[in-house]
Amino acid sequence: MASSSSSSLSRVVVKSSDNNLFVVNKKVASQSQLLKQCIDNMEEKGTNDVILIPLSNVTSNILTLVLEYCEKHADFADDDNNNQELKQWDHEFLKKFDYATLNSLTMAADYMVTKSLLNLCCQFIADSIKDLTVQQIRQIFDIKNDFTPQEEADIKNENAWAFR
Amino acid sequence: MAALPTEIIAEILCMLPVKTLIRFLCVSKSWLSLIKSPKFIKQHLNRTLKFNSHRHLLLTYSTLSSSTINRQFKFSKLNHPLKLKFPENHHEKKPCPLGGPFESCPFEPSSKTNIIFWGSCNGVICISDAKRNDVVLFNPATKTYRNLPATEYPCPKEFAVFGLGYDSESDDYKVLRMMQCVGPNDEIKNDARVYSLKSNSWRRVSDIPYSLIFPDTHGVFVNGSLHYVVSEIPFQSEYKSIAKFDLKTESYSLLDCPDYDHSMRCWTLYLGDLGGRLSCSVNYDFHGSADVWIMDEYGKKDSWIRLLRISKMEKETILIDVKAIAWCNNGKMILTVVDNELRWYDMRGRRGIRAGVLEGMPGENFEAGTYVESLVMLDEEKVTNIVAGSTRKDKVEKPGGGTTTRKGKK
Repeated sequence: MASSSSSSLSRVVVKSSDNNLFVVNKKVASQSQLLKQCIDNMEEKGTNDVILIPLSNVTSNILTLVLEYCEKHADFADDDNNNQELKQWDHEFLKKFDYATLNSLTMAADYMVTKSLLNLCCQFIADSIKDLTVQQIRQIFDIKNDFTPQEEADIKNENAWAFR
Repeated sequence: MAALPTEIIAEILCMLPVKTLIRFLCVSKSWLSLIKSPKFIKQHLNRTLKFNSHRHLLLTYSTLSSSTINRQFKFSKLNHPLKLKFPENHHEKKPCPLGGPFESCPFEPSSKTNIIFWGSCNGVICISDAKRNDVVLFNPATKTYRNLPATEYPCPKEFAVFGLGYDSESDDYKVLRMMQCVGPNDEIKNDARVYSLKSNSWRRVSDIPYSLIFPDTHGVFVNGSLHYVVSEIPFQSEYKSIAKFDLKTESYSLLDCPDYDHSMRCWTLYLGDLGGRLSCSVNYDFHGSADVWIMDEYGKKDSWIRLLRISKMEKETILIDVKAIAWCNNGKMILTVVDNELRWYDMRGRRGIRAGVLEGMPGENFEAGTYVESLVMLDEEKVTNIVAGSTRKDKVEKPGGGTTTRKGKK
């Protein structure tokens, strides 16, 4: 990593898949391992220019959410995940979204390597689907039932206790 | 809406309890094969063990049950697969067939079926009837079980001691059965056998070169080995040692005991598993006090730490019976059985402080243990296995480009 302050970047520009530009402070961007890697690489090369990072998989509305999360979490230390205020904020943050948004947010967190957001989304989805019916699960995850009626009945019969 | 990749689906499903996952088997073929895959079963188990979640307390008295206490444990009646004989006046209820729908065959509290708990490992428990006629591996969360095949008994059956563990090397669950008894000419008869779940058979292993001191206590599984309290000299139970049986090498060796007070006569030693570490409850019966020790770093004598000292104040009795059962909230709380009472100790601060008693427990004699929920399957011939198996096999066959017509699909 470059040690001189002259080649240290303070901000980066991130481009969403629908071509919107976001100026992001380095500390915030570093919450994403993907962005952090890009910044580190550029700093190693000694670039002074503001760099542009295109994210071909993330739309601007989802990117806004990821960055909102990163901004909040950048204010806390890495080992502060048990902070009650932060936990509360995380919960309120995710509570607002429908499953489609949650899915996209989860995929974006995965793609941008924002491990804590990915874990948070997975846990939130797990908690909310725990008591749902099989039919509801298929709907939410857009899954086609590829069992024959007989197969499905057999599986249900064999595990009837789990459906009570 | 874009579908989530399988790895993320697996990550989400990993966080769910077993009952929910069993229900989700019929979402689709890909979910079925994911949930049934050995990789996912391990991923789910490792997460459960890491976060100490989905744990059940197991009590055995005349029947078995499990419970939710202080949000650390779940409490529900455990319907196990051992054959039950109902009293004469219950003609309308047939004895529960092994593999029958357990819920429709509830326990009668009056039933005299005594069940012995022989330990738990990764969600699998080993139980038998009091006479050791039927020994069963049972996963209460998936309700799957395996009856262990019969094997020879060179001593009366009551002498059999079982222990259950997992050998990560061969990815196999193993039961060690040891027997020690005195023959007609005062000779000591010894017998040791290992059952492997994969091969579903017993085979003899070398005999334990020590004498078992508490022949009614099961082997405690920690760090790949089963542990027993033994004495190196036959019939000299004052000199106690801890013996381990390594499930990988299938050999015995001794482990250093904690440095307990030998000036007070220690009557009983109980071994246990506290958060994956070996614990030793040392009872100084005639002094009315007991210590709970934990081996912080496995195999190192110096790493035995005394966690708790429990002393009796009452003058009328100096007998004491203390056994550590479970480790909760990352070791902030410890559950112990003290004279037939399930008691919490708060471990924050230097000394454990008595923090409360579990209510609603039977006042009589009981044995307590714990198990976690896991997806480990003990039966082979389920529809779900066949469907999952065929789906997996199809995927393997595709690259070869061969015909993929399979008989398995019905």
